[in-house]
Amino acid sequence: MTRKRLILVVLFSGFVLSVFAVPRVASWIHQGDPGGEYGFHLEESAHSLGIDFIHETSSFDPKIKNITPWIQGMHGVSVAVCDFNDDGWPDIYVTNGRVGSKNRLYINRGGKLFEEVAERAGVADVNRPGTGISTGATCADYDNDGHEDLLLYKWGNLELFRNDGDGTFTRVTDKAGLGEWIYASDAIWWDFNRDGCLDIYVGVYWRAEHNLWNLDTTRIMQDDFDRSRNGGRNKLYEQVKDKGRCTGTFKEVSQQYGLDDTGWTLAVGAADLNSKGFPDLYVANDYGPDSLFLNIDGSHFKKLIKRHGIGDDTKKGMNVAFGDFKNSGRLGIYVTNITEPGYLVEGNMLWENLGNGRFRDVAWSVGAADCGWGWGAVFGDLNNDGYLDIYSANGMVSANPKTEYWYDLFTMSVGINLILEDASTWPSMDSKSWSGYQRSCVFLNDGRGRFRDVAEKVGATDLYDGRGVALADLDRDGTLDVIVANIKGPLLVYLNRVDPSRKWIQFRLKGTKSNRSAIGAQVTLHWNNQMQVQVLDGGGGYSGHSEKLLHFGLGENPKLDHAEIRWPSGKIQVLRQLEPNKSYVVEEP
Amino acid sequence: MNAVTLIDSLRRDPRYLVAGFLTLILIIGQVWLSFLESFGQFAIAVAFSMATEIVLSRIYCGAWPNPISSYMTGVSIGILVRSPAWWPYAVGSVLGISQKYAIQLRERHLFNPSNFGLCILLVAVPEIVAALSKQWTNMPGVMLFIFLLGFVVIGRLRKLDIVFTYVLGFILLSLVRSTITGVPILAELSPVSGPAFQLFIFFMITDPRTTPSTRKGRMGYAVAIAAVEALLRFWRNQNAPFFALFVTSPIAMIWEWRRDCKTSGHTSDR
Repeated sequence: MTRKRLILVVLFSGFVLSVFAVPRVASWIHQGDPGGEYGFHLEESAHSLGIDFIHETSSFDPKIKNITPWIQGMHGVSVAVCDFNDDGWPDIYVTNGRVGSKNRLYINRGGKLFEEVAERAGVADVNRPGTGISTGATCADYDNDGHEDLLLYKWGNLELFRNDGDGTFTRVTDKAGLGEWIYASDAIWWDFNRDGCLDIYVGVYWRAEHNLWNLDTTRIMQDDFDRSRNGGRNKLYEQVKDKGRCTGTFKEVSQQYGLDDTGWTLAVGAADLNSKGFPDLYVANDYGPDSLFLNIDGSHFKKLIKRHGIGDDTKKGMNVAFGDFKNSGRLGIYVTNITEPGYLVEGNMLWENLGNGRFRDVAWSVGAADCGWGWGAVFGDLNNDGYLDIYSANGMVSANPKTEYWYDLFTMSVGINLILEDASTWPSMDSKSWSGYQRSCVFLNDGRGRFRDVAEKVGATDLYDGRGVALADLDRDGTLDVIVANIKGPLLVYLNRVDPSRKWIQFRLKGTKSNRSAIGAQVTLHWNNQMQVQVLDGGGGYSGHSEKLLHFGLGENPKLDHAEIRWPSGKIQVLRQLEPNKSYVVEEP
Repeated sequence: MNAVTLIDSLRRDPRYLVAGFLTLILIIGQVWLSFLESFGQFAIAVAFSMATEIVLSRIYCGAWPNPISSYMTGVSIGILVRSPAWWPYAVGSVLGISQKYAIQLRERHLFNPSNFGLCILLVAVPEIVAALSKQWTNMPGVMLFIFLLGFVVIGRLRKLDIVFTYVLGFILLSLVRSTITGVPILAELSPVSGPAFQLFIFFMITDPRTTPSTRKGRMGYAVAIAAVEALLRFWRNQNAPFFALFVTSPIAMIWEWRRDCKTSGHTSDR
């Protein structure tokens, strides 16, 4: 061997070794960062708060028995946090998924204890045979009577319950013109045309013509893994306004507005992303591109597609959350996807809003991309340092940890549509796990544009298959608590304990000319020569609906300047002389 | 090189035909289906592949290399590697090309370059690299068109014996796997319709530099790849074809070397 060749062999061997070694050393160095000084700690407290809920799932047509755990996994479990009894304390509604099972409504008794009242309130027995099973719930005062009503979406009939204000609900589905059988994954309240009456948008997964409990055919699956469009048709229900009054009846107008997306939608969210004053719509689709619809003056929508950018991904969108994670005054978008080493390295998407309808995915570069098989995720300042963090739930099927379904999926994923679409051709899942036993991610924003997952270090250690996530200040201590709904698992309530030297401020809004729930309102807080904008959304995030509370962490020794509220009606209100560690209830002037 | 010699070399050197086919697939895939992760990553793969070839050829051969081989390696890496990061495309290309110079037997490299780069990445950094798992499209007609085109091109190279033997072996062993494991046969056969499979049979296992020279040897080589792949699939390895080629290719080269040695009465490498 010549000297030259010897040098080459040595260099080559070193190069190969470095490919193995460098990422591991980098990871080791990263993990070696000092821990414990994050300013907060999460403590799972469901049982001590009186919440003992275990989610149950349904069985489906035996013809698709081979993939039942998959279908069960796609059927969400949801948590919605609202003040249903108007006592100032946020209550929790959680959905169940077995035919015949009951949903639960936990009323908050002073932040220390919750009382289950769903049966008494008339919102428990909603999974009766023939009506489908609950996938989620979202609440809003759709009739502007001062009480939060409940929209229940299902793999089945959509249901609307009016809050009577006396601790009970009345089913008004038929009167409202709802009740259509659809396979809803997510739903939001929004006032897309700013007429003061809340409308509904529903993301739909399966096509409505199939009955998953009694199938005529097993050709029900996606026809493509990257650009499938054979999912259910999404629905826009516009509330009818008559003589200046919201009538409480709805008409289905999705085709009229071009919003009848047929992707396999798992999550939807609405917020004004281009500062035009109207809420835009983001639709996260499984098996293909998400859709961003820009709202043109409430009269029509324009779909934004950037090649290799927003609206052109081939990922598995599972969540939509909006947050000003750079304190730039613009809302970014967090969409969860799937990352499984060696199989599918998609990474979640964090769309930075660059203004003028331009977005850039920065998730990998800022460290917020890899969270396994992602589901519900929310923005919130968990440690009150003045920067929005991300709580992201994950995990698909936790079964026998010694076997997995990824190999089977990987084999099938390149198949032609004739094979893919037919559920009967899919290998049996049996007791296989599938991205199971994953720990949620708590991506902590360091204020310099980087995120780091600190879940294990701050106490979010559970390994359940998470779905819906909601944030709320359950005990009114000025911190955001985290509620996580798990499929086939318990409802977890992580009470948040934050370093008291870090200040905060909260806003609860009540619309007058706008919808009473103020859904769509944006608050921009200015302090310490910086600003942060937050939006009051109507249910964004997969299967989770956070408390209608705009919570701003302020850091230590904050100097508050002012807050600007942009109400859905378009009215601008400026609040001055604000004080930290206070919660303000603001009514639209 | 004047125009006449260029055209002449295009006609004589079959690699240009293969490169043209590969480029055609790339263009169709990208224009129609946004097939690549990004143009930037693809460009990095091609640029690093060609640059590595030029540098190493200048140093170790003292000549300017024909760029077509490194171009194909870069294109293959650009298509087969799926990663959100940029560096795996560069590293995969450098690995693939440099092993041609570092690991040789009788001045022949032992591994298919792009397969080598891909396999090292898949083993070393699975958290950020996966192999291609997409479809050209969901329409069977498109898949058949690419198969036919591939067969025509590889037919010109007189390498269809490998392709047919391997495909036949894959199908037969899929039947065996299906019978043993109970997995539906369509699920076992599903990979055949994927682009990774097409790239694999048309460009990787047919690589003239890493395949036996006799028809019998090539067919045995194809059977061996299919057999190793089937074994790996029993162990539920998702990258079975690439690893099967990784293992089989050097064994085939060594086997052929030893056979030649016995035939010519020599026992040592020249």
